[in-house]
Amino acid sequence: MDLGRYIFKRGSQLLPLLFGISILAFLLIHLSPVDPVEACLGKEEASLLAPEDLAGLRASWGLDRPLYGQYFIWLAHVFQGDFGISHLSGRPALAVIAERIPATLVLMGTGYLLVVVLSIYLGVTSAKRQDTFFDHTCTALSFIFYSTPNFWLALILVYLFSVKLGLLPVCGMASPKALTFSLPELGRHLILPAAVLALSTSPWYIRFLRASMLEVLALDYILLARAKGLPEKMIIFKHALRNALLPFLTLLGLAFPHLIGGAVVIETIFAWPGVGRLLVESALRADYPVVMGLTFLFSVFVLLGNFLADIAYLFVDPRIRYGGEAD
Amino acid sequence: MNKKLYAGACFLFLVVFLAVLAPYLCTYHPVDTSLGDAGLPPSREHLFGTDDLGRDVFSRCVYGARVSLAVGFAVALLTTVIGVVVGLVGGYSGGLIDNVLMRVVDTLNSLPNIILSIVILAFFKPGIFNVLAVLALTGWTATARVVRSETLSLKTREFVLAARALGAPDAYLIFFHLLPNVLAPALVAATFSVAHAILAEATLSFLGLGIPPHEPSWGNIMMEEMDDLLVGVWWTVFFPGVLVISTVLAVNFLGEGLKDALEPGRGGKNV
Repeated sequence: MDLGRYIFKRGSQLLPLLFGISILAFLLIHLSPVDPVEACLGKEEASLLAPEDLAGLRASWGLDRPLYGQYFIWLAHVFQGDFGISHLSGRPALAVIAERIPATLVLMGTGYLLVVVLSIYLGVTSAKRQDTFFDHTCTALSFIFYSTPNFWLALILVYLFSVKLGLLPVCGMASPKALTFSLPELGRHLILPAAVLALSTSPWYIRFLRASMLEVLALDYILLARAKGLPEKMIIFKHALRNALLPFLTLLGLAFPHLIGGAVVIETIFAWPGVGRLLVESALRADYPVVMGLTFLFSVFVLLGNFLADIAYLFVDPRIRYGGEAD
Repeated sequence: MNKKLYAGACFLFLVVFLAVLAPYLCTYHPVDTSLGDAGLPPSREHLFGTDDLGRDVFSRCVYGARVSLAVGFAVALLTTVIGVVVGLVGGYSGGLIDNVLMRVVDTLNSLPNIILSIVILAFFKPGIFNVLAVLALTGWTATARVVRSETLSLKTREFVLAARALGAPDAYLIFFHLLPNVLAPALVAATFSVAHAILAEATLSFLGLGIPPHEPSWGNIMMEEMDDLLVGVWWTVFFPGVLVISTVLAVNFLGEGLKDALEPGRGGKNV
């Protein structure tokens, strides 16, 4: 199948999924017994409002319409780039979300980079030294970190590095005293959250790369390279790693959901002003427009990651391009 | 000899044993407060120390094991039942039904489980049954996928074709030929979903969206005592976490061991 058509076909499958997830989120949120007015204003305050004011508020939030009506109005507005007005702040939901995006991108970007570096370094080294002490330690640690709740890791690191040693800040993105933005300050605040994100995400990738390196290192052409007397470094990095990286590259596209899921929890613990913490805050206060917007944003991001992974596979493995569809 | 399987099973058995015998093992009641004993570090009296209300952390952890394990096993049971049914029906019938079911799977997979769970639990009241429902709703897709692909390959095998040629009805084929053959991969998937569910419950309870604090679970013990870390009380967070890690590790080992034992030909990538 030719490349353009494949990309188009694969891309066009994304839209129905986005519809699906928006309908699902909408239904779940709107079927809930939580009253958005009460959740937003607080029970006491809501009961103080006059009934007609309450009705007016509900009408202005569109809550007086039937469910399908609310959904179609929401959808029509989304096509115009309007995600509604945040109940909590009274500002457009999109603006509320947009101002939180950079913080999350900084955290996730750093975490992602660390995941790539960690998994390539540790994956390759432990495959190279299979069954040595290094390999066994690395395997044991991967299993342990894979089974560790990320919030627990965050708390323990905060205790060690912030409370006991006093080296790093406990939370936030900048110290409250700082009036202007400074990169070293951001870096100091970033170390712990990014480390937690990377440590809790990478074990799986380390294991995967190790396994795929071992598979490649057992192939005949590596034996040939060894027989030719090529230096070990060249065999590992030029011959083996290049092939082992193929499946790994596409896997990195699928890392987005892990990173987003991790970011939500980590941002909440470290009071990192990103979209993950915004999700928890708005969900707890029943701020529908923001929660819907974020759900939409996250699924776009995840689907885009899957899509890119598929496309990347086309480029690194031409067999799929000519052999029909990728599964 | 399958070391992973035995190691995982032994540890898990130990935790189950602790949870079942909780009332006999604990000298303190998990919710009894005693302000005179608040914030004591681990000692012979209080193995894991006490929290800021003087409650014995060891007793709370042992009672918490009941909730956390119950959630883990119940969710695994639910996800396996849903996953096996969806996978079998989709894989066997193919066509439109399969297509619709797989699109549902894709839709659920296009959001990280933890985010979907947060959104749902925030809008419904937190509590053990809602946590179970949410984790089951978000967790069955992996099992469904495994069972479906297994069914797809099984249904073209000779023994199935032979049974069909002899006039066996669909229900007979599904129950007596396909189901027994997908049970092994489904069991492996179920084991891993116990691990996922224990971690997810801990995370949700930690965020205040899971099990309410009056019923100790490993997650909400840590949530309640998180602030004390800042004044140097580490034991209230450390020990429940270690229990979560070791239990999840044991379950993962059990899963890996089962995979090796039940699907020997399919070693493949050991990740």
